[in-house]
This record gives sequence, structure tokens and C-alpha cells, in this order.
Amino acid sequence: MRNPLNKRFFRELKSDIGKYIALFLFLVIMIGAVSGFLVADNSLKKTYDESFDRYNVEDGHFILAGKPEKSLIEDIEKKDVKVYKSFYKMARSGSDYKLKVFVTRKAVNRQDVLKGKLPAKHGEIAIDRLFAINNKMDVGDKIKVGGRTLRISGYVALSDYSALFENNSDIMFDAARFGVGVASQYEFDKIDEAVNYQYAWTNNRKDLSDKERKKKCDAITKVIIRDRTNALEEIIQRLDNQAITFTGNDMGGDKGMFLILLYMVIVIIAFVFGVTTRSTLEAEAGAIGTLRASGYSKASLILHYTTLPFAVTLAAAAVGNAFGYWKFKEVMAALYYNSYSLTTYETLWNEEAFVLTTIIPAIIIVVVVMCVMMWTFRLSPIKFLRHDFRLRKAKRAVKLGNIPFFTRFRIRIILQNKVTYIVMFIGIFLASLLLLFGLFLRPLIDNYSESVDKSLMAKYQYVLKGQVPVAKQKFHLRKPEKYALEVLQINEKDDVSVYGIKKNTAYLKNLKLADEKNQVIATSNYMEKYNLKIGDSIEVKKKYSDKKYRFKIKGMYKYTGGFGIFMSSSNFEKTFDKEKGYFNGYFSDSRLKGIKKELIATILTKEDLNKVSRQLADSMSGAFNTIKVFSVILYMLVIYMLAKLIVEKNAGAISMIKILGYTSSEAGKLYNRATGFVVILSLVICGVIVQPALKNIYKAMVRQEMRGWLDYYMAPWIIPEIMGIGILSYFVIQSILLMKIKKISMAEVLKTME
Amino acid sequence: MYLEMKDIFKSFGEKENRQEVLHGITCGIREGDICVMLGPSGSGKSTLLNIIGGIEEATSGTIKIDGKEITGKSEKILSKYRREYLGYVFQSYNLIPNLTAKENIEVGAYLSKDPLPVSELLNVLGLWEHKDKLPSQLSGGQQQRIAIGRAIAKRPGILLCDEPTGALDYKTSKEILKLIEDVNEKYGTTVILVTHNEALRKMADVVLVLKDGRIVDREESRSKTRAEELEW
Repeated sequence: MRNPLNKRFFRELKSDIGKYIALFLFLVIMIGAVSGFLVADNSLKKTYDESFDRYNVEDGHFILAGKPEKSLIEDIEKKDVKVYKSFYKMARSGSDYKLKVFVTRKAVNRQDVLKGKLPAKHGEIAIDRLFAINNKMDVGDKIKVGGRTLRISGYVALSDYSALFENNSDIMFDAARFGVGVASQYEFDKIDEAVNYQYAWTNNRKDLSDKERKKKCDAITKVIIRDRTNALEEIIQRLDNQAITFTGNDMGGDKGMFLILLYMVIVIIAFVFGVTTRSTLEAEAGAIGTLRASGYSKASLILHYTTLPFAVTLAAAAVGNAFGYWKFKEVMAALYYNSYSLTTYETLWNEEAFVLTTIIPAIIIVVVVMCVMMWTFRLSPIKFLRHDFRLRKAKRAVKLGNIPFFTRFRIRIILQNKVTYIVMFIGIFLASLLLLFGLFLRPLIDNYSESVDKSLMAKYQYVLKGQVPVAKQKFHLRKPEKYALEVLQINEKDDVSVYGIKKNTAYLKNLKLADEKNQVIATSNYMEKYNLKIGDSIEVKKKYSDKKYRFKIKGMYKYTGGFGIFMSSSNFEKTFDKEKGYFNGYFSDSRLKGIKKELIATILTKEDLNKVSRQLADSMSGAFNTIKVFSVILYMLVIYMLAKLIVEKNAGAISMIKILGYTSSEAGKLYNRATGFVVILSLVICGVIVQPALKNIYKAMVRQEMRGWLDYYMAPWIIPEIMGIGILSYFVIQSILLMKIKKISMAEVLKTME
Repeated sequence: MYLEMKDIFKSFGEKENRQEVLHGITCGIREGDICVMLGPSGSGKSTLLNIIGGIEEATSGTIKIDGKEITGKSEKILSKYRREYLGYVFQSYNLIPNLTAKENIEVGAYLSKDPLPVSELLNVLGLWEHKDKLPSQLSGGQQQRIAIGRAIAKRPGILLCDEPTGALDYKTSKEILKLIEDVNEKYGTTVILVTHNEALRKMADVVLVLKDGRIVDREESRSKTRAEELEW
């Protein structure tokens, strides 16, 4: 015979349908969103990784000043590589945007068509999807390209331009101002712009290490330089090409954040399940006592009461995963597609996502509910029969003195329901943390933007390809100052710029350089990210080499741009074995004249650094708003579930005081205000403790997951806003609860009271 | 009459499930009387008590207390009515579990502008030593004393008692009945006491016997027996 208690599941579900629907929907949304993100992230990453073979992405490219002789290409190909023509023309549309046009690619760096088709007829062009959307260009529209009016035949993604970097030395790309496109050879020839003689190469051996790839690049460079027929304007191997690698490096970076959010919500829901199930046990104590006395085992009853929370979680996880694969995946993929020019992706089954979003949440909920059940079922059947849930003898009532009666009454309510209120506090804390997360990131990015402005080393920071002198010109403020720069690797994720600076530099205020060899000043952001203190030693390495450098930190320089370490020019020369007076950059207050464009690697200005924050803010603003809405719902859910529980638990007492002549609003004042006091107290406490908690989580997350460092910053209005949202949420809930109190029937409750 | 009931009908359910519980109850109770309502289970005595108490609504009929009609009034007016006129005592005490003995009595006292002094009540009820204890620390008899204290603290005109001794042993039951009698005498409170116990008719000024939702007997008592002398 089947256990007759099983018949209760459906009825229990029906009797508290509101609670179960709210928890179910919340779990579905949360699990769906995270599962969608993990599936999209994994599918996109795999598609991205496979795109190198699928679209035959280059291992590097070089640009020559003029068209080379055939023999040069043949000499290069002797280095066990295959060279492809990849000429382009740069078309400008006033100051609005630049469009790099290639001939439709068939052999290397092939394009993927995302909408429409490749240009087949004369007068057509296919352009990058993201660039087109940012500039509100649709398939069929006509655009001006190098003096010609071309019709957009389709949206494409070029496999060597997943991130639209105009120059490889740019700190950040700008997909609104720079785009790429492909046209037929006929149209390409008609575009009235100069040809750039770019060639791509692929290594014949695919299994080369990074070091071997670098060697290959160096060998090609030597061949071109030896040839002397054409100046080498640029050579970049794939590993250093931001347009190709930036996207891959960014993928998977948000995984930790999404999982932290998921588990925070799951823990809250597990506690809500725990407390509400315990409340059911208290309500059904008489029946449970009788069942235990009649021979039902503890285990069977624990299993019985754990089944429903477990089933609801599993159902929510199943539906959430289905939504994740079906809908949320698209939403999450859009986060990437809004930033990057990605090729079409294929959805892949992700077993890790299944474990992380289904198995682990179900385990967390079952463990929490089980613990509550096992703790409660330690009591003997007689205790259940007597509705006595204390393990020890009854304690004396806490003496409250002569404080006003209503206050005493409310204090007693709080003392009686302390466990529920503790869970409510935890829920409010986690919801506040989540809300804080949703609110603080945007101001943090804005603050970063401002602090970057303030900490700029110079209005113009030139990075040169060699030691180039400056033409004579008048300088109104400070004269330009030479510096030497070497970029080293901290680890796989982060690089650090090592500066050789003139002593008593006019540009870096209060920078006191050390005299001893290998003693350096490190930037504050570097020290913060890697938890470094003055006196610590650091080890950094040269890219694609085994050469390592060890420095001792003698001081800190406040800086929020890229990671940097500073040493005197003489120390720099000794460390990197450079001749006396070596330099490869200038700090300057104005643009410098007389430096040929091709000798400039990059010019860093305020605008370049701001691109980073703009890109971050643009790509994440959708996520910020989603987190905000989600946290407010979570606030309301947690407060409502638990406040409702307190009203339900005290339905008998509420009914009794109504019989005595108290009005519903007076009963509400007693019971709801007790909860209101706890909510407000929790919000105040959370207002104090949530900030350091978030600070630690943020730092740990950035250290673990992200490249670079954004200083932690909390805008002063955020905590009051969170408290305001919390209080407002409570007042909405209070009015719902008052309706519930009004509905408590005096006669009905009296009948069920024992 | 202090309490007047006229043609009180009460039914539960609808259509084929409709069940008539009270069939036109008409009677009156004088101020200061002890009225004992007797009758078997399902006779409608508790339902009638709840209708008098304003916690259940009659399907039809009128009830007047002190000349004021309470039937068909809003919940707000009924709350006011209960606050001013009624004290309630149940078989299951229904104390608020997280309040001490004294605080439970204060719950009643709070509702009156001129309540009985809580300390005096605690002494009268013999609960002074237990005033700071929670209900769970007290015996059934002590809990019922608190329930009576809570009911009378606001000086109600009528004390409604629904099987107040139903859960108590013989000795404690007699103590509780004596207490109710004392309250009636000391404060002039009208008492309506619902019980199964036939022996209690002897302490009543008026006895109403209900059967199948009708009053089948009304008896005025000429010589009452003191509660402590009752035997059953």
C-alpha cells in the first residue's frame, strides 16, 4: 500500500499556493538566468575557440608601405608559413566613423554572414553587425564609402575582428566610431582611398607553443627588414592582436559573479523553506505526535516534510534550465553580442551548468530543510502531542519592567519569533547585498572615469616605436619629458608597464624614486589587486620568454589607469640592458610636432582611458537594472513570506484579541509593527555591515576573475537609497498583511485552537 | 431585559449542504444574572454564545444589549461593542503564549478607560506569585484564572463562558466556578455560561436548555446553590 500521507502533497501545495508559486517563480528566474548565462558563455566560448579553424583565422599579419615583390612573399613562406593578401582601404565619414574595407575573404579570416548576404553585385557592401547597429544602419540602406554610395547587402562578423579595435595599441575599442566591411574586388578598387598592403599569415604547423609562435613572428620580421624594399609599418602576431584575443579573454569573466548571486538567492530560499516547513510542523504537531505514537518513523516523516520543498526546487530547476536554454540564453548571449562582433554560435549542452544550477541548489535546499526537520524531530512524540517544541524546560519570561504595554507586547512577539526574525535578517542582508551590487557598479565606473582623469600622468602620453626626437616648438607649460617603457607580464591575466623616469620628474607629482637597483615604486591599483605592501618583492616576466625580473617595492604611487611600476632611468637602463639615455616615450602637455605617424605606437589621452569605462558601462547597464529589479522583488518576497508566517503563527492570538475587542488595525499595529521594527533595525544594521561585506566580495571577485583593477567606490547616496527601498517595500507588504489580519475569522480560529 | 434576543436563526452552508443550527431563538436575560445554557453537543449553544459575542453573525433576528442593537453592524462597531460590553472565557483558555500572566490580563485592561487594577485582580485570582510566568509554565486552572482575569479586567457588562471547566479536574472546576460567581457578585457582571454539566444549573438565576437549535426549556431559579457546594 502506498503511503497515504503522499496524498497530502497536492493538497498542501494547493493550500499554500501563493507561497509555492512565489518561490517557484523566483527559483525559475534565478536558475534560468544563471543557466542561460552559463550555456551562452560556454557555447560562445567554444564557438569562438573553434572559429580559428572554421574561419582560418590568421596567426599574424604585417603591413608594408608598398606592394612587395613576389620574392619577398616567397621568402617569408620559406619560414613554414602561408601568406595571404589582405589589403584594405580606410574610408571615413566626416568625423562620425571610419570603415576598414576588405575584399570579401575566401581563404583567410573568413567572414560569417549574420543577416542578408555577402555583396554579390556592384554597388554593394556587407558591414560589421555591431558597427551597423550602433550607427543605425540596416540591410538595404545606402552608405557613403570613399566617395561611392553603396547598398548594405548584409551584416557580417569578420573572424579577425571580434573586438573592433581600430589600432592594436588602443586601450579600448569603440564599435560606434570604427567598423569593418567587405566588398567585391570591383567595388574595392573603386573606393577612392589609398590601399594598405596588409598580408596575413598562418603557420603550417598548428601545434606551436606561444614561444615558438613568437619566434616565427620574429623570423618574418627579420625577412621583411632584410629585404629593404618596403618599410614594415606594422607586424602583429595573433596572440598580441587585441581585435582577435580581447573577446576570448573577456569570456567567462562574469561566471563567478553570476554564481555568487545564484547561491545567495538559493540560501535565502532554503531558509524560507526551512522556516515555513518548521511552522507547518508546529501547526500539525498534534497529528505528527499521533503518527509518531502510532509507529511512523522519524525518517519517514522527515522525508515526507522534505519532499515538497525538494520537488518544488527540482521542478523550478527543470523549468529554469528549459527557460535557460530556450530564452535566457538569448538574453545572456545578447550581453556579449552587444559588445562584440561575434560569429553565429551553436547552443551546446553544458553539464557544468546543470550541476551548478540544478544539483547544487537542490542539495542546498534539501540540506537546510533536512537540518531543520532533524532538529525538530529530536523531540519525543509526547512533546509533539503537547505542542511543546522546547528541548529544555521552559525558561522564565524575560522581565521587561514598566515600559508601555504595546511596546512590551511587541517585544514579546519579537522574542517569540526570534528564529523567524533571524532568518528575515539574513534574507534582508543578502537582498541588500544584491541590491547594493546592482546599485554600486555604475557609480563605481563613473568614479573610475573621474579618477582616471585626475591621475593621468600627462595630457598626452606618447609611446614610440623607437627613440624619436621632437621638433622644436614652443611649450606654454611644462616641456615634454622622455621616459622609457617596457611591458612585462604579471601573470596570464595582467601586464604591468615598467617606466624608467627622470629623477625629479615634472609630470608625476610626489614620485620619489629609489636609488638602489631593482627598487621600484608601484602603482596603487597594482598593489591593491595583488595585496602588496611596501617592502614586498614582486616577480614579473617578459612575454614569450623565460626571462624574469624581481623588484622590491619601496613606495606607492596613486594611479588608477593601467598597472605600473616606476624606477629611475638609470635603474631602467641597468635592468633592461639599455644604453644610457634610452627612451621610447614622452610625457607632454600638448601634441608633439615632427614625429612621423608610423613611429608612434600610441598616444594615450584622457579620451582613451575613458573609453574603458564607457565600454564597461554600456555593456553592463542592462545587467545593473536587472539586478536592481530582482533585488527589490527579493526584498519583498523575503519580508512578505516571513512576516506572513508570523501573522499565520499568531492567528489564534490575533483572533483572541479581536474577540476581546481589539480592531484589526490595532492587531496590525501590534503584530505588523513588531515586524516593521525588525525590518527597519535589520536595514540599519545591514546599512552598516553590508558595505564592508560587499567590499570584500568585490575585491575577491575582481582579484579572481577580472583583468586590471577598478578601485572600490561606494557613492554616498547608495546606502540611504537601499534603506529607503527596503522601508518602502515593507510598507507595501504591511498593507497586504493588514488585509490578511482583517481576514482572520474569530470563530474559525477558535474552533481550531487547542 | 439587559440582553434581548429575538428570532435568531443561524444556518451554515448553502443549498443542499445548508444546515440550520438555530431555529428562531427568542429570550431575554436580566442584568446581573447568571444564565446557564445547557444542552447536548450540536444543540447550538456555542453558536448562540458566539452570536451574542458578535464573533459570528446570525442569519436573521435581532440582539439588543442594554437597548442597543448589535445585529447587522460593521466589524468596527462590533469591535467597539465587544470592547465595551463583553468578556470571553473559553474551555481552551486561549491565552497569548508569549505574554506573562500579568501581561495577558493587561491585554484586557488596555481596552478600558477605567479597568480594574491589574495588581488587585492578580490577588483576587490568587495569581500574584505567578504574575511573571508564561502560560506554558502554569497549570490549566491557573491559566483559566488568567483568562477570567483578562475577560473581567475591562469591567465588561457580560461575561461569556464557553465550557470554562471543560478541560479541568473536579476540584479546579469548582474553584473556577466559584471565581465566576464571585465576579458576578462583586462586580455585578451578567454571566452567560455554556456547559454540558447539568449540575451547574443549580448555581444559575436562569437556565436555558437548548436542543436542535431551539430553547426547549427555560427555568428561573428561586434558590441558588453556592458554587463550592455543587457536586457532580
